[in-house]
Amino acid sequence: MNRRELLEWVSGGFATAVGTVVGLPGISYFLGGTQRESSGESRFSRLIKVKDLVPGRPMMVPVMGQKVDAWIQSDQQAIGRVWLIRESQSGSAGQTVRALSSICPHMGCQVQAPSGGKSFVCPCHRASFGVDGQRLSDPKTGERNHVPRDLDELECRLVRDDETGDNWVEVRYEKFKTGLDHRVVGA
Amino acid sequence: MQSWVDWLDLRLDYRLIRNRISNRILPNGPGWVYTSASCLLWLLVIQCITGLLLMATYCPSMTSAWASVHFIDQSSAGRFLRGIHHYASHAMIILFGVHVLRVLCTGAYRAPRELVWITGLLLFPLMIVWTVTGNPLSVSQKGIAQIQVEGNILGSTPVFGPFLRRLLFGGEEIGSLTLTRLYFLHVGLLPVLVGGLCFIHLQQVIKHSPFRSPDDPEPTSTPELLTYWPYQSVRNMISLAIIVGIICFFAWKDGAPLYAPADPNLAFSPRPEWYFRWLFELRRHFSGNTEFIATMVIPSAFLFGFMAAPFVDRIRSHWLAVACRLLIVVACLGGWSRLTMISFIQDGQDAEYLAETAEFDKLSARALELARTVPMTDKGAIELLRRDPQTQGPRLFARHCLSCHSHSGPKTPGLVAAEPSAPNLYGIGTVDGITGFLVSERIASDEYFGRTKFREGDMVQHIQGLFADDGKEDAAAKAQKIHAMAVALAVEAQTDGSDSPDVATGRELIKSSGGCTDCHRFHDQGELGTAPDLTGYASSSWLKQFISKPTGERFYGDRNDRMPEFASDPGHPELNLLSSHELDLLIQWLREP
Repeated sequence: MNRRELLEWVSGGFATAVGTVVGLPGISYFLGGTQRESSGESRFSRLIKVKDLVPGRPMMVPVMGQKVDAWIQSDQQAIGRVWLIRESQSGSAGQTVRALSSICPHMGCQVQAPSGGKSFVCPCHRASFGVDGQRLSDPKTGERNHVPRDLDELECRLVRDDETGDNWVEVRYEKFKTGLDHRVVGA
Repeated sequence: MQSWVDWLDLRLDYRLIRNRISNRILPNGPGWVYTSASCLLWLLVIQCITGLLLMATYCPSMTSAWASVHFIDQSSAGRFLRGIHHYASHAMIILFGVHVLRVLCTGAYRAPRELVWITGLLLFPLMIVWTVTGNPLSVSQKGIAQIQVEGNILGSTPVFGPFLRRLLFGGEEIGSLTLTRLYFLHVGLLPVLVGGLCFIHLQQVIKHSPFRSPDDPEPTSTPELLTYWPYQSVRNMISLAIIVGIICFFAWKDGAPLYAPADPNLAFSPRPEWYFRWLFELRRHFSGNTEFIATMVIPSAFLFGFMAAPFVDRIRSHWLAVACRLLIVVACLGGWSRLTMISFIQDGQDAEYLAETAEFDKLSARALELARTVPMTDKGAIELLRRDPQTQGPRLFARHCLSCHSHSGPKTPGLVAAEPSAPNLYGIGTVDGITGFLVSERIASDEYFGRTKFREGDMVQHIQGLFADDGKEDAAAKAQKIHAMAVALAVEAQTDGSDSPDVATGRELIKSSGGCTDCHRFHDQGELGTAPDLTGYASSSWLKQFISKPTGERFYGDRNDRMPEFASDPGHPELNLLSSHELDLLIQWLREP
C-alpha cells in the first residue's frame, strides 16, 4: 500500500465513521415508533344490558377503553365497534347474543346494517353479509363475494350483575388483520 | 454595469448555462406539443411557493390542523392560495399523464435519453404519493378515511407491507404521529426526492439537446432550427397562462374543499380521488391474499414496462415500434377510463352511497357554519360537531330511540321508525304536542299511546270521558279549554313563555275540572306514584331525569311499559347507555329540532 492508497482509505474510513454516527441513530429513531405496541391480553368489556337489545335487530355498540396515541394517553375512548345481535326473545336460559366485529375483513371499512338489519353491507365495495356474518353474493348482480373471510365473530358472554339483577353483554374485543382468508390478531 | 456582469460571469459561468438552456434546438422545431413539460415544471414551482406560504399558518396536529386550515380560509388571499395549491395538484396529475403519453407517442425516450425517461417515470409515483400525503393534512373525515385505506393498501404488500404501514402510521393505527409523518413526507422528504430527480431529469434533457452558438445567425428559412427562447418559451407561457387561469378560476370560485373534521366515532365510506378510481375498481376483482396484485404488482408492472421501452425499442423495426407504442397508449387510456367510468357509474346508481354522500356534505357544511359562529376550544374542531345538538340529536335518536319512537312532523319527514310502537316524539313539550294528549282521537292514535300498553289505560279513558261529545258543551269551548291546558303545560316545558290569561285558566283546569291531579302531581296538588309528574313537564331537567330512569318514582315507576333506563346508574357512567353530555344533546334537539 502506497502513501496515496493509505490516504484514500483513511479518508473513506473517517467519512464512513462520521456517516455512521449520524446515520445509525437516524435510522433507529425513525423506526422507533414502529415497534409493535405490547397491547397485552385483551379483556372482556361490558357493553350493554341484554334487555336493551331488540331481538333480531343488530345494534352497533362502541367498545370503550384506554387509547395510547403516541404522546397522548386517554381513557374512555372508543377503541372499536361491535355489532350485537340478540337472537331469541325467550327467558334468560335461551338468550344468545352474537358479537361481530364491525370491521370488514376486505380492507377495514365499517360494515353497516341498512334496511332494518336483515343483512350487513360494507359500503366500500358493496359486500353483503348475513346477520350471522357469513358472506353472501351480491343480491342485485349475483356476483360472488370478494371478501376473503366472513365477518369476525368475537367472544361474547352474558354476565348477571347480582347487585342490580341485570344481564350484561360482555365482549372480548380484538382486531384482526384485514385482507387475509384466516384470522390473525393485529390491526 | 457591464463590468459587474462580466465579473459575475467569470465566477458563475452563467452565460454558458443560460446559452445551453435558451438556445436549445428541439428535434422538429418549436411546437405546442412540447409545452406540457414546461407547464409541469412551472406548476411545480407554483406548488412549492403556495405550499411554503401555507406552511406559515398550518399546524400539523390532530387537534389544531382542521382549525388552522379553516383559519387560512378565513382570509380571501389564504383561501385563494389554498385553492391554487389544491387545484394545481390535480392539474399536475392530468398534465403528467399528457406529458408521458406525448413522450411515448413521439418516441422521445430513445437513446441517449433513457435516463430522461426513467427519471421522469420515477417522478410519477412520487407525485402521486405527494398528493396522497397532502389530502389528509386538513384532518377531515374524508382525508383520514382515505389515508386509512391507502395505509392498508401499503400494508397488504407481501413481506414488507406491515412494516411500511407502521412506518407511515407511526404505530399500528392512525394517530397523532401519523399526521406528523404525513407532514414530514409532504413538506420534507418528498420535495427533496422530487427536487433531486427533477435536477437529473432536466440536466439530462439539456445535455442531450443540440444548441446553437450565440454567434451563429438566426435562421430565417428553417423553422426547425429556431431556438427554445423565445420561440418555444412563448408557447409554453401561453399554455401555462391558460392552465393557471383555469386553476385560479376554480380557486377563486370554490376554494379548496374543507370537509367535516375527522371523528373516529363516525362511520364513513371513503372513495379515493378520481385518479385512483381505476385502482379502487380493480381491487374489487382481487380478493384476500391476491389483493397486492391489483394494488402493487399491476401498477409496478406498468411502471417498469414503460421504463424498459427505450431498451425494447432497439430490437424491433421502426414501424412495429410505432404501432406498439400507439397500441400501448390506446390500451392504457382505454383501460384507465373504462375502470374509472365503471366505478363512478356504480356509485351513481347506489342510492345508499348517494344518500351517505349527501349526508356527509351536509355535515361538512354544518361544520363550516359552526366554525364561523361557535368559538373553537382547545380540544379542536372535533368538538364542533360533537357538541352540536342539531348534528348529534338525530344520530343519538336513531341509535337509541328509533327502534320504538318516530320523530316525524307534518312538514319534516324526519326519522320514521320501521315498526313504531311508542309515541312519535316530534314536537314534544310544544303546545301542539301536548294538545294531542288531550284530544281523545289523538291520544289513542299510533302517534301517542296507540301501540303501547296505555292504549286502553286510565289516561286514554279519562280523556275520552272528559272531552267526549256529550252535547252539553259546544266544541269551540272544549277546544278553548284544551288549548288553555296545553299552553299551561308548555309553560312548564319552557317551550312557550307566554303570560296570556290562558296560562292561569289552564293551570286552574289542570287542578280542578280537568281532573289531572287525581293521578298526576302538579306543583302543590296531587301525589306521585300513580302517573308522571306534570310539574316542569318536558322541561330539559324533567326529560333528562325521565330518559335516565323512566321507572323512577316521579315518572312511571313499575307501571313503565318498555322504555329502557338510559342512565340509571350515576355511579358508573361508563355502563349507562347515554352519557350526561349525550342526554343534554338529545334533549336539546328534541325540544328544538
